[in-house]
Amino acid sequence: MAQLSGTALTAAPLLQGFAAEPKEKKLRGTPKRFVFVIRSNGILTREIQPIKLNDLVKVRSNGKGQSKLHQESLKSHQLSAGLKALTPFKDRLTIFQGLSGRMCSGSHQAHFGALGAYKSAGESPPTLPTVDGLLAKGLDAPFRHLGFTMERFGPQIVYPNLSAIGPRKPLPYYADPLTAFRDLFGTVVSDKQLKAALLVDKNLLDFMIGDVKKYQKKLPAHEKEKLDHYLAGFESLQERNKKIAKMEAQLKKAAPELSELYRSEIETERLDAHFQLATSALVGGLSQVISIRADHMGMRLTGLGLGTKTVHHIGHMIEGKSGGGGGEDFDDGKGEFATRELIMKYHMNHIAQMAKNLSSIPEGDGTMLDNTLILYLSDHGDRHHSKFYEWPMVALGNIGGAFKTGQYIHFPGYSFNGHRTISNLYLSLLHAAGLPQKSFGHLDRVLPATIDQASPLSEWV
Amino acid sequence: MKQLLFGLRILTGLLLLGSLLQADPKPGLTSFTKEYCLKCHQGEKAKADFDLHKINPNISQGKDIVKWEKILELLSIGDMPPKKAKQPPEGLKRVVVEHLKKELQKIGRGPSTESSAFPHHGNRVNHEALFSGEHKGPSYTTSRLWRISPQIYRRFAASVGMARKLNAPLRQVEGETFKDYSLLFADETTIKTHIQNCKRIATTLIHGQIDSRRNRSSKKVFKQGGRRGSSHKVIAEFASAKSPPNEEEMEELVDYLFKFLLQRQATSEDYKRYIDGFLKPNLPIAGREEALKGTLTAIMMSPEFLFRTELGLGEELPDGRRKLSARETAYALSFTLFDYAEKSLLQAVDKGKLKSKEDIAREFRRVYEGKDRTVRSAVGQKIWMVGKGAGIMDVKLMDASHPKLLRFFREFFGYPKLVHVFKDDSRHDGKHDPWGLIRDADWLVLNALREDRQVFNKILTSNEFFIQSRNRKPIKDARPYNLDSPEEPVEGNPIALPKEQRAGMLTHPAWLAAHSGNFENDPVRRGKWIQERLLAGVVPDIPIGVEAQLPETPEQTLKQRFKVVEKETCWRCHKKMNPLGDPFEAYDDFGRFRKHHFVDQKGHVIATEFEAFSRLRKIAWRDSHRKNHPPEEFTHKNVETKGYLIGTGNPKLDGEVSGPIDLVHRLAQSTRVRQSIIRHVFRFWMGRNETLEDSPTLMAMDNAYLESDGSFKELLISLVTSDSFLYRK
Repeated sequence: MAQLSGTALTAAPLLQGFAAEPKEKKLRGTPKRFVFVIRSNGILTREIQPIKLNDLVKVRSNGKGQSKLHQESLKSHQLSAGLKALTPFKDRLTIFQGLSGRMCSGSHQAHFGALGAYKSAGESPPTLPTVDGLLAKGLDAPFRHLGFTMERFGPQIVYPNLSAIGPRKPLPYYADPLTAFRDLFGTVVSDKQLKAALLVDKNLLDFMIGDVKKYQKKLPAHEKEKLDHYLAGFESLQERNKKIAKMEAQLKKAAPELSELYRSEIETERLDAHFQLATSALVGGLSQVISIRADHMGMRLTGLGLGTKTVHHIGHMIEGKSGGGGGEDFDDGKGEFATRELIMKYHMNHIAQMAKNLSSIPEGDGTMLDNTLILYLSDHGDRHHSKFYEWPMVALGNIGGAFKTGQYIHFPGYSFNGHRTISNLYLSLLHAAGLPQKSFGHLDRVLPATIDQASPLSEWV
Repeated sequence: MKQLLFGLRILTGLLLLGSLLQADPKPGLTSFTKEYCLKCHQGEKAKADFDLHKINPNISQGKDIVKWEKILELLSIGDMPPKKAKQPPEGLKRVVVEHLKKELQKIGRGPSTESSAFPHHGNRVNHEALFSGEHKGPSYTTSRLWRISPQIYRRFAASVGMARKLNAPLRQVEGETFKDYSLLFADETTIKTHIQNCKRIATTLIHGQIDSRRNRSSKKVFKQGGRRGSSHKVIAEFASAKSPPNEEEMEELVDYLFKFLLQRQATSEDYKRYIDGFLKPNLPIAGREEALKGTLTAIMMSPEFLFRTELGLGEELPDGRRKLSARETAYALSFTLFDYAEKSLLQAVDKGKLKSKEDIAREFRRVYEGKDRTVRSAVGQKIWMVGKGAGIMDVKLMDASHPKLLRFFREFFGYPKLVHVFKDDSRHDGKHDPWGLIRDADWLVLNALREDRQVFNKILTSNEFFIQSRNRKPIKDARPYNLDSPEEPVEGNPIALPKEQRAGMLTHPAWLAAHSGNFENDPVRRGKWIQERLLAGVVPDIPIGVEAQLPETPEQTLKQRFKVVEKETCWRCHKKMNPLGDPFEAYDDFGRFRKHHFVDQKGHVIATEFEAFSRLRKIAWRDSHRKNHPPEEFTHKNVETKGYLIGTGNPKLDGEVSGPIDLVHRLAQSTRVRQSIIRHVFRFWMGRNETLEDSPTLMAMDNAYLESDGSFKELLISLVTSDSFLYRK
């Protein structure tokens, strides 16, 4: 049991950056939840295209695409093979094609740009907040933002360079489901030793606050500030623990069952655990904004039988056919599209499961799913080496009716009248959350001024 | 006479404008802009579209703050007025700059004092003034807490056998600069990760490390893995005993913990703090083990553990400066070379052998020269960074006895960044080995440090390279060094490469590739590096709104495509970088030397020979499968390597350069370059930017280096015995 001790305090740095922020106005009414599922290698336009509409997205080599808006209901359409698992939720789906993200850069990953709509390079710190960061800032919860990511096995909390609460303030992600479990649901584990440990933790916080204050008195004025940051950290932890302590009953109900998945060395199993945790955290009211990074370039999807290639190599299988660097099929002859379909199905099963779980929990007049939005996208547009002319996305949910769902929206191609960028989409999310912004990210300065990059998507909102 | 006149001019200028500014700043500023700016920046034809004709001199009213900010930036880095135009006297300029800063700060604009304390702003202190001898000090550093570096943290983790098992709680300075600076602090993020680590360390101290063998065979996943048993008897016994502990036992415990964790004797105050304040109240609630874990955590969370304290607890001088106490000095000296408090230095404190400057020089020399230091293998294995990007380091080589020496050169030259510059496999067929190149570059540095003569010169110009130094095998297929497939295996590092191809670090594939893009060279990055690190110059940050974009014209060479920056608005800054970076077009973005570009049949320039090779190979393969395909052949385009050096302050060195080798040799001869490196040495080891008060320290360092025939050791000894290092205020 020692493994599980020290719960309340071991909370990971998931409140980072919030301490100094002024308290946002609390939004009343039903909570609004946002889940971002981010994958690598791009999402091919054809992958999410409803079957009969395939002609609309045939490879467009000049990156321009069609010139007119195409918008229709999904009712009479069959979803693509990859999205099949979402069929029960067809009326809540929105499929986006034709959005661009040319303000981003990067050869395999747009880094903070994917959720931030700005140019972000490699390991450099974020220059602006990302959409999940802004939502987290505005939507109050004990954990304002929760991130889960695939990484090397081990108890890690990492910064995958995806989410940011503000300039130079990246948000951390849990790489280890077990650590996340302890932080989120440790309080409700019924164990004597653990309870005692929790008590010591509480005392420790009080002690540290006193101790640091005493130490601070000895310092010259200009160095006191350094310890102010330190002190503030303890105080904010104390604050959050108080909040979580009040939620015991609700957390008990929501807590997922600890299983072997939480310690598995197989990546795909750990992703299962991440999705379970994410769902439970939403149900338990621990957070309203969750980002899940479903894979990364260096990992292997062993559990799907794709372990002989890394995700990066899998990306190259596709590029090979269209004149890129090239990559061979799997030994069993599974080619690029079959492989992609397998991965997409796997992600979609998780999303469908999450939606199903949320739809089984009543909230207000409906269910929790009614107030949730799950956005599925890639951190690199529409392919392994994307130029960001296209950024296909799938959204499930409508946040209490804020969005017109059950439809397929194909925006006019890059630089055509009525073209829209990912900034517009993120502005729509912020608008739905009651946090409207004047603009988001960087503007794509190559686009003509007639294209509105600073308003929500009127076709959707 | 000239000087006198000049002085008079300054004086009158100062008096005139200074008094004007004081009495009523508005007309003072207006007359300044009229005198020095309006000639070019007025009306419709204003240069760079920057019209100052009607600029509002009432800065804090906020109407023209953006313009004023720009003026401040360009004035303070000396970019404006341009060299050929009429210059305001230095003193007058200073008055205006200070006034602008003050006014802008009133409304929360202008450069913040915080950001100017970061290492990449260090060059803003005037170089000539620093080495002019006119500033006599007194030198000192403000008394401070310096948060420990991730390496110190990890060294501690290694000492409890957990080097690779803990999360990294400490963030570093971001960007391409020195990572460990005294302005860093510990915040909420640090606390949360650190507290988690402390718990795990506490468990390890009590029960010993996880026995991984047993753990692996364990079927039940959540069963705690077996532990090897603690090597800390006092801790283990305290945790396992059954009866409530008596006072003596608790004191013994705290004593032990203090010696182990903080390397010092616990005082009676400490007993009170931890025994009465924490241990006693928690024992009845949680039992011995949990209370002990809490105590351990509390000590490891204390500011004393996470911060190096340099308050100046020694004797006080009449001018208010206080010397570091002997103990503080021992720590400061330790962390100059190591990532831990060196025992022999702490012992010297106890013996009273670390008092005078002579003592310090002697002791420092002793530990610098000491070769008997062995380092636990766990220590050097990984560079610990935040998030992704940790990498392997070779323990054997990691001149591990003095990790900070190599770390300085790594952070100064920035070549370890190489691993983050992603080069697609398809471009190099697996012949690009970032870690191998970093290792090779390390050797270039270490070799120079080992000889300790003309160190900077050697690193900047030597053509003796270490190649594939990670392997013991003969060198094979070292394409970045233009050793493709030597007929006879080359053996024995270092290897003298052709002098017309290689000269020192700036021509090393590691540095070249680290300062390149994903797909091609980056003359801007390379030029900026030289401008800032070697010429002590300042390049303003990219102005907001400028989208740095090169035209996508594949038929042009990179140099031709870079013509776009020669527009007036761009060139103002780019002229400080491109002419310095251009000569390195003699290498591709993998660091391979070349005389021409390959051009394919479509007329597209191929960025690197690697890629051309790779394509030829693939074409050969394709042709063997598919008949009737026209054979692909490449034509050539000449590489342009001309550049321009300006800013060494030496007319014999400044001027057009024919190529990278010419450039590097001129740089190596420059006094300014030597002094610029010394400024960086100061920054790295002092953890702060130099000020004019540090001028005596810097000049003494420069002297020590020159007099010792370029010894890095003597340079450092000069630093650690300086007032900047030893005095606090």
